[in-house]
Amino acid sequence: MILTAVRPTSVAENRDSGKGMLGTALTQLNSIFNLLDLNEGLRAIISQPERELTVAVPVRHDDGIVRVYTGFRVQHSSARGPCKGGIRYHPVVDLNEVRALALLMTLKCAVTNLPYGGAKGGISVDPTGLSDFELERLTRRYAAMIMPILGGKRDIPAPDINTNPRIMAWFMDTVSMIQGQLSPEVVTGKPIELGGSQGRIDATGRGVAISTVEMLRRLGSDPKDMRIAVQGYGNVGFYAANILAREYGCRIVGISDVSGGLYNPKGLPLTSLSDFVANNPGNFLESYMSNGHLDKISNEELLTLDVDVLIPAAIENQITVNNADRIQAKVLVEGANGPTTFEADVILQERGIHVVPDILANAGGVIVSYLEWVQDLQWFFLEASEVQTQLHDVMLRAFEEVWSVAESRQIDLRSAAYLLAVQRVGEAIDQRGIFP
Amino acid sequence: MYQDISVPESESQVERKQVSSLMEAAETIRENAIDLAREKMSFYEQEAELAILLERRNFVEYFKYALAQEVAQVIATYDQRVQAVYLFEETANPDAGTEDYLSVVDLTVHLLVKVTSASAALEAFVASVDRALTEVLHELPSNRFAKRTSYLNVIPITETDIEEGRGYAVLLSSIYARPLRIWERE
Repeated sequence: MILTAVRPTSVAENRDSGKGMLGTALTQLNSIFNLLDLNEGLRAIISQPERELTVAVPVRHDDGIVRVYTGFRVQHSSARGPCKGGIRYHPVVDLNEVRALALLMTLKCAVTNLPYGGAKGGISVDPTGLSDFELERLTRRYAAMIMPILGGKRDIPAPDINTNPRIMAWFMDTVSMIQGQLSPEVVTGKPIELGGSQGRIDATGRGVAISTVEMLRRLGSDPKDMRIAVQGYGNVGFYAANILAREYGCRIVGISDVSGGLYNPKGLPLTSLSDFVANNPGNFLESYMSNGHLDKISNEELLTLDVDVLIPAAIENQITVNNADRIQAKVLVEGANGPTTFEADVILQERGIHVVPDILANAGGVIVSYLEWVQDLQWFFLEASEVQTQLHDVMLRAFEEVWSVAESRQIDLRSAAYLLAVQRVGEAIDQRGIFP
Repeated sequence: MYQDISVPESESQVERKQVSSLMEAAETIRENAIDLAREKMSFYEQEAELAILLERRNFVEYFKYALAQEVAQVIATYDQRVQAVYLFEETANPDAGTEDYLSVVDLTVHLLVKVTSASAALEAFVASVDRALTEVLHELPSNRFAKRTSYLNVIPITETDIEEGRGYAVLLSSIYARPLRIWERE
């Protein structure tokens, strides 16, 4: 059977996008409830955020004028552990969008069995319009205003759209100053010097590579024989492709970035390409000068190449009804968030293409966030190789558990992942009981 | 009565004039962007030497944003079909977007340009602006700007692309990698 998953659907750019996204998420959540036969009480609890905070954040601008920005922090669930989720700064941030993303974080943490619930936050602001001081004042005031619900054992923010390690450092410092003690565990995604983790930059790509290899092994295929195409050569695609080639011996035959792609059925010169990208930051693949052995292809052509594995690791909604029936890969690993539309997902399932869903495949980032938090709590810091080992173990365990659910219930991996996640959250709520 | 003895300009003369005005425009873009980025810095950093500022991530990020704004203006002034300009970053996954603090910022200005209809003329103009901008940015006192061969990644999109979610137009409804609108026609 095919269960459409709890994923946001996009709508045209407007301020109501969050409302549509939340509605879709809740509708899909209901279909999972039905499969699990959850009781009404649990359904009601999981369907709603546990706590929401809206704050009016006044910031004195450099010209002396005070402007007030609206900020949010939504904690969807703390049933399985402290809430976890990013903070985004963007003009189009609204409460419904934050609610939906908080719910998705609960499920993402649950499917990988991290001891976290889900949260999300944001401020409706164009950060590029603020000066450095204004951005710092905005962040510090927002941090102070949501601090009553933050903490290493309550809610742990992380970077998201238009926020970065420096902003996380201000967050940590603000909380530490108010508490009168250093509290690195209050946020993740910090600079390494302030308790950030090694191994974060390639974490998502590494997780994608691990899921890919595990999927192939379970299908009885030797990764070394596999021809793989990767869409997107950013933080996810770049590392996924290189790790698959160097550590697992896969043959990367196609890659693309925003400028287009390169293809060679015998395998791409990945070392040379990686050196090119590393030494020419910002230069695109289209400007890579090959010796004539590579074909230049479009992003669309890359998706329909004759390959064994396709890894869309660029942007959302790339596999659609327009190309799903032309995908030739037998395995599709979702490196990006939401690269497959609902309708395309149905077509892929009908065609027997194995899809490793985003909620599982790209969980490497949040797993290393978890490892950062653990290191901060213990004041004991791991080498990059140790982080990679831990990441590998968590990813493998998660894959195994999702696979088992899919096998036992005879459902696809996406449905199994969401089912497992909701089941875990439901069980935690059930076992804890209702206070008082 | 005077006879008109002016000789029509040759094609190469016209081309040289165009190149020269593009170089001037690129220099203006660069200088305006430096000024705008300086304004964003704290008061004690504003007077710092440019070479020092260009080693600071926050300055470089503001500089890149200001470049984007200036380029958007130039493109929109050149072509009335341009309706709006958006700035986006290439990486889509927020979990992967937290590179180390001091790592190099992606200096490429990624722009989505919403147009009423696609045109080869706009693409050619953007390519010319990119060449001129690259040349004047090479003059900056920073190694990281010296070896680049391009700074602009401009993707024209139409209303139909947006409605049908074609290619990078899908970013306008993205939940995870949402662009910022930096210019819009009144």
